[in-house]
Amino acid sequence: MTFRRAADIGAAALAALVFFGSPAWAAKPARIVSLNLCTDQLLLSLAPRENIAALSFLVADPISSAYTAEARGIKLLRGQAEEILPLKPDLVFAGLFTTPATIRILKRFGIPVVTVQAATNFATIERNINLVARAIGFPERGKKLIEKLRETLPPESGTHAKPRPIAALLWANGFSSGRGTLSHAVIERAGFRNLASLLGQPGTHVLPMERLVEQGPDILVIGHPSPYPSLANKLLLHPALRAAFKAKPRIAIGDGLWLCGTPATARAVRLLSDKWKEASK
Amino acid sequence: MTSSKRRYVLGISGLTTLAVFAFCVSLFVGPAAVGLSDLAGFFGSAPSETGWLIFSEIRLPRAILGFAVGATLGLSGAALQGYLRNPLAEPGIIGVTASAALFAVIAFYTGLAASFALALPIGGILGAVAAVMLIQILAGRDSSVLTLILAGVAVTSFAGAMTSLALNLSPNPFAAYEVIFWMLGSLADRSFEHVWLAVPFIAVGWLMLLTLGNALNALTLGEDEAASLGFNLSRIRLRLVLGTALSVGAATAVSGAIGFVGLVVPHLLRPLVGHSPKLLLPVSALGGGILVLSADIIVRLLPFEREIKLGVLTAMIGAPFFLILLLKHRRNLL
Amino acid sequence: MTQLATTGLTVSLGGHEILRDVSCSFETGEFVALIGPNGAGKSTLLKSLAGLQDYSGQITLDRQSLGLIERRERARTIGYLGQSGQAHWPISVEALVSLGRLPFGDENDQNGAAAIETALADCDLLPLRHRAVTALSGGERARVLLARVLAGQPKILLADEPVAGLDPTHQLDVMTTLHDKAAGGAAVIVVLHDLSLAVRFAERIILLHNGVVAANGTPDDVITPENLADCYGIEAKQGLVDGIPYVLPASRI
Repeated sequence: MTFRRAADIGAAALAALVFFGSPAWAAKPARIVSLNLCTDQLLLSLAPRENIAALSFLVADPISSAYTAEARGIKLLRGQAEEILPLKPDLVFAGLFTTPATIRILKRFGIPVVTVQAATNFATIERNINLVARAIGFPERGKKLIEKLRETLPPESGTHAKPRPIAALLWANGFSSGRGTLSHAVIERAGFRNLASLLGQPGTHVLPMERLVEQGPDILVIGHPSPYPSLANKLLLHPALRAAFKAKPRIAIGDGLWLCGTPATARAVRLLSDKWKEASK
Repeated sequence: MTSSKRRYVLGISGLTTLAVFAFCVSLFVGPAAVGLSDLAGFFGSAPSETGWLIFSEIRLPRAILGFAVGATLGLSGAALQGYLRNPLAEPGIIGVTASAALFAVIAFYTGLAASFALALPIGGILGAVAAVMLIQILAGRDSSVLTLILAGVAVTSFAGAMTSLALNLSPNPFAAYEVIFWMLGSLADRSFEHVWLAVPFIAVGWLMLLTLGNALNALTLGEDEAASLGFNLSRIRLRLVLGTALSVGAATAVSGAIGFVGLVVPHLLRPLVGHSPKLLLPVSALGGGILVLSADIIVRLLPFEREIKLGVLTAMIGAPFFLILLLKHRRNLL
Repeated sequence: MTQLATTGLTVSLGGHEILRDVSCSFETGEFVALIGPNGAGKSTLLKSLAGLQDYSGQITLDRQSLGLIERRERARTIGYLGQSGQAHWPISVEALVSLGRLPFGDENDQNGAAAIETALADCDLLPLRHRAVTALSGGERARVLLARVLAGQPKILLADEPVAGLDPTHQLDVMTTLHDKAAGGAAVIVVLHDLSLAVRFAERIILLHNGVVAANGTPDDVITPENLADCYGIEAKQGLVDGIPYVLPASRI
């Protein structure tokens, strides 16, 4: 065996190790880019700032994001390949719906892309935290974050008296979230029954105002009204709604807390259960 | 009583009965189970509170607006056809509803309507005025069917594009979804706020249009002869413009752009009144109200998850109707 | 006795002077033919008399300025039958003729029904009364439009080429009816192109040329070889056959 040959084998073995080996062995990605609001926020809670090269512009929107403060000072992108490539990223996070064309270009340039599916309950939130933490090379941070999340959540059982009170979720333009959505998981975890799932429709769908009034839920949960005029906002001011909930509690929870499954989502659960406790006094 | 007068009286009574019937049916259609027992609240006995709430705050304003908007569209269609002597004129085709929607959108999304509620119907009215005047300039008096339709296409396209642009520029994140409401119209979740905003203007508009009857009859003979019969043509035109703008503008501002009603209804009912433009006015109002109320009932009975927009239904009936009329009038287009 | 008169009537359209300093008068009981070459201003004069045209100068109805008379009242006195008469919607003959009663209002029109019946009878429309106007022939439609004017029982009747495009039968019908109305006391002013009809039915003829009154008098006074040559640029044969006068354009000059 020549020296050169041994070196080749050694290099190949090293490459294999790097490629398949444990993250603790491999060099941690130093120029991470995220193209998706949810992965943006996970990155901000897990990665050291200097490793983040850029995030999507949505993370700076105070309505949709819970991490606007943390995102300050970081480069924001619209998501086009032209913006991403000059940054020479060594890891890119994307969501299921990130433009496929962009991802194809990145892959063609040999950039590793990790797709993270949106979390729809707390189990998948924890899964995503672990996934991102491992990919960026800080698995122990992931575990710590999950611990903190579990602490923030109120105790699981015995949160409210049986039968559990019914919460109605009302988004802009009359939409509500049923079984299989993150909002549904939050409602249930906070100790309520979700009106939308009781009425049978899964996923995000329109909840007719008449049904909402007819069913007489115990608490109304809405997102923060947009500061700009919209028909969606006007719906929330409908006289029937106001009359139906005159004596009942209502709470507005910022979209940023539960648009994505992040550690901040636990705060939403906390807010809901605290509100109910306060209203029940 | 002559046979034609008898036919007219029968027609009016029949249509009124139908309108009342459609109104009542509309009050009992909806996703919630609201029945007669819930209406006991109206008569003082122990009501079901949610039932009464649904009935009085959701169903009743919706039915009132349904009739008001429909009657407006039918009436203004008949008036425009009588004045322009053109059976294809109606507020949707000539661009009045699109223009009203545009100005209403501007009033709403710039926040004007938030600080001054009347800005919404007034916006719609101004938009309607602009369109009617523009149409008069482009294709007024005795001009061919083709010219009128082309002018309408121009106004509608422009207004539609500007509406999309306005919603695009608005910082409102739901703009893309809400544009559907403005372009296709809907009566879902209307409240008495909308009724009070629109109905006063609509009522005044109706008054102005209904009094045009004799003038429209005289215009059957042409403008010179009508003037020779003692009619002040410029005042007639002003009343038509204002009446149409007030009623259609306010109606569109609260229900979005609903098309084709003003085309289909007068056309179907003309034989009932012996083609008299004057008698066609009240008859078209009733017919329009019935049509929109019925469409609104159907829209709530359809098993779709999301209520389809009213304009979709009226277009499904109206667009083929329009094509048939165009084919009939082919010779006029050359 | 109602009198319609113009003094110094001048009408300009689009910078063009159509009528210049026209002065003439008409009285009830007269049948006046308004003739002249194309573009002489006949229709414009008629429209001005009907109050449909802006003008400078004076037009008086019974010594009251036309512009100061309330529209409806003027409409009750002056009836106008335009050149290109239309009937836009397929309403019944009877309904169209009834439109002539519009200036009288819906409520107080006691004579209305009788006037409509008379008009229908005069124009031989009784068998057609329920037919749709748009389904009629050209001649029948012309009679319907005439009946509409007659239904208003105007004291002054202005007709712009009422026999244009009609066959001889209907031409005679319309002219006879108009003549009867004049005999019955109305002032009838008719724009005509057919010189024979003019000399046959009118007792007075006004010849317009280039916006001014070239001649105003009896048919004999007006239809002279000189006037025909100056205004129309033609030579014509005139004569009398069985008591019916005729004018036959022969050749250009």
